[in-house]
Amino acid sequence: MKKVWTNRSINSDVSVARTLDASWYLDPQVFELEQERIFARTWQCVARVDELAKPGDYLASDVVGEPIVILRDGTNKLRAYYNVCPHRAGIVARGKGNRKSLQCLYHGWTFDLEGCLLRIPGFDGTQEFDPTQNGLKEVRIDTWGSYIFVNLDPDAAPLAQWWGDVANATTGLDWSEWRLVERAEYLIDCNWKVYIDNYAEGYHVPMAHPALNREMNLDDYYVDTWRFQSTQRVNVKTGGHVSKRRYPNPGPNDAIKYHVFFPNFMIDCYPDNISCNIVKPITPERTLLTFEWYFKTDVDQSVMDSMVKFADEVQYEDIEICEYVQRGLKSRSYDAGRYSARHENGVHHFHELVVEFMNSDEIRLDTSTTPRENWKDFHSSNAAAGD
Amino acid sequence: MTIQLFDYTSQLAKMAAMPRPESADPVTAAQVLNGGYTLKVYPTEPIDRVIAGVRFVESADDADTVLVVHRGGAAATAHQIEERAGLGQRVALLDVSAADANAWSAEHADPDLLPALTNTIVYLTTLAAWEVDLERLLAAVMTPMRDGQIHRLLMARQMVYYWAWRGIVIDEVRRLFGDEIAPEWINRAAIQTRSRLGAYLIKLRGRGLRFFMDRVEFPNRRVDEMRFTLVAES
Ligand code: FES
Ligand SMILES: [Fe+2]
Repeated sequence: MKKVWTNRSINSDVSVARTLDASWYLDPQVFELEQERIFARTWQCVARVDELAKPGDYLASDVVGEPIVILRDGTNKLRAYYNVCPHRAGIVARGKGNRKSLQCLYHGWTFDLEGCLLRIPGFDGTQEFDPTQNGLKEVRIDTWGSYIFVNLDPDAAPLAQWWGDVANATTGLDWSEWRLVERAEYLIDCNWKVYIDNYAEGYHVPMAHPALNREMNLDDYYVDTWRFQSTQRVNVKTGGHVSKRRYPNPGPNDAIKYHVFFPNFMIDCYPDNISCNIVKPITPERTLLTFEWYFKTDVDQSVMDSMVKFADEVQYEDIEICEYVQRGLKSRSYDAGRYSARHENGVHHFHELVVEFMNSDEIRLDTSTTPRENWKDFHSSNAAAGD
Repeated sequence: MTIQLFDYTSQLAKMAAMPRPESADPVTAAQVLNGGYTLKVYPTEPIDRVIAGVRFVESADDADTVLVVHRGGAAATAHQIEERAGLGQRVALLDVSAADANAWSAEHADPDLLPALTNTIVYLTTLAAWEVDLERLLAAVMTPMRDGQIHRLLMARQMVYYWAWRGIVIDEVRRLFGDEIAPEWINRAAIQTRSRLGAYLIKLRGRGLRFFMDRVEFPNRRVDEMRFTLVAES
């Protein structure tokens, strides 16, 4: 029989730690608890800023199964509300569009864009009713880069304190330089954490991604971690057989970086393009992945097409692996595994955060931009000591 | 009115057992599938064709089904459907937006319809049919709509097939594997197809169509012969 989930902690030393128990990837109870303890307490990406460009633009979405509506109010301020009418829990917005007010689709209560009750049809005779106490309930909203995030925790710190400062420093992205060129969604038959575990390490690149492996050198691949972020960095390969490479003549600063922002937002940075990945758990064993590609404004179409094809290939290589892993996790032969101390510290860091959120009520912030582990220094000093 | 007495479950089984009409002409196909049963249809614009088994009527009040004719402008069509459904009318959709208005077939479907319709307030299950192919359209129109898992399955299949597969995903699969998939890439192509079409199904979940992709196959390794099955979400 498979063990039920038991992790109360992950050993903080990656060299001796065991990975998350397999049941964390399978058990519907863990899934439910994650929704509450991880997704309802962290910043969740819901849209791009350009999707709500003008006052009155709105968009209905859902976070942790909660219906949410986000909009730009009359003063151009972004706002988010529970998409739940205070009367008898009808829905006040559907799809997307532009409106001067929101009207419940059930009995027609109308709210202004600031969430205040404007009109109540046929409510004459009702006593002890204060319209000012019956507005829409607000949800925390914030932006980073080109994206809008909401947080169901009313006490959550602003996004800048979660990972904004570190994210700005490590990505160094000027979002105005980048243009969205492609978007795709994928439904994958695996737990959301399987996808992120796979994303958080480069250890699998030589085996799983032959084309990508031509562009990088695993010996040169390092993962740094901060409070809620890990970043993988590898220089673009120089010399050798260049003919089949995407980046045959890299500049000295051309690197590939993969950033993971806890819990489910990631950015791939290549020399000529970036892509954002948003991971949304659907069921314990199904995950929706949204990919959005950006190019510098002056790139021509053929370059973009070939990049999207290249990225597609890598994507399906990863999806295939993740689906195999999900089946493997179900095997009676497997309970938990081990980390490569050299290559899988990003996965370890992610697992530590998962366990921390699942077990602790108080989540401490740390805005320091200095990495917690600097593996490049660590390994080069080890190598020097061994000489 | 006989339509209420019409047992559509057994009828669907019969239709499924019926040999596919030889003719590629959807009107002829519809005539076969319609089995001689006369339907009163109110088209939102005059349709200058005689369709066996269908009687076009002058008023929506006399009709079993309102046939909304789509000539482009997806948002306006979606709005029309929303209004009709709001009046309690059964709605069917005919997409003639293609340049060749005589080409009443799925290949000529307007890809903007999918996002436009998923943004309407109409639950898809209140549409009598959501179809671009007249053959299937009439098969669906014959059924007393509303609930019925088999009908939801039919709709989900049609949407995923015509809009997501024919409209978008087929070209992505071709981009990686060409028209004929090499034997060693069949599994990868199936993963690609399943994961991309699966994401479109997620968009339909909130509208009462709760299905996941099950199996994807490529008979003869041909991309354009792709077949898939859906499973209901448990
Ligand atoms: S080598 Fe890592 S899972 Fe098999
Ligand atoms: Fe990968």
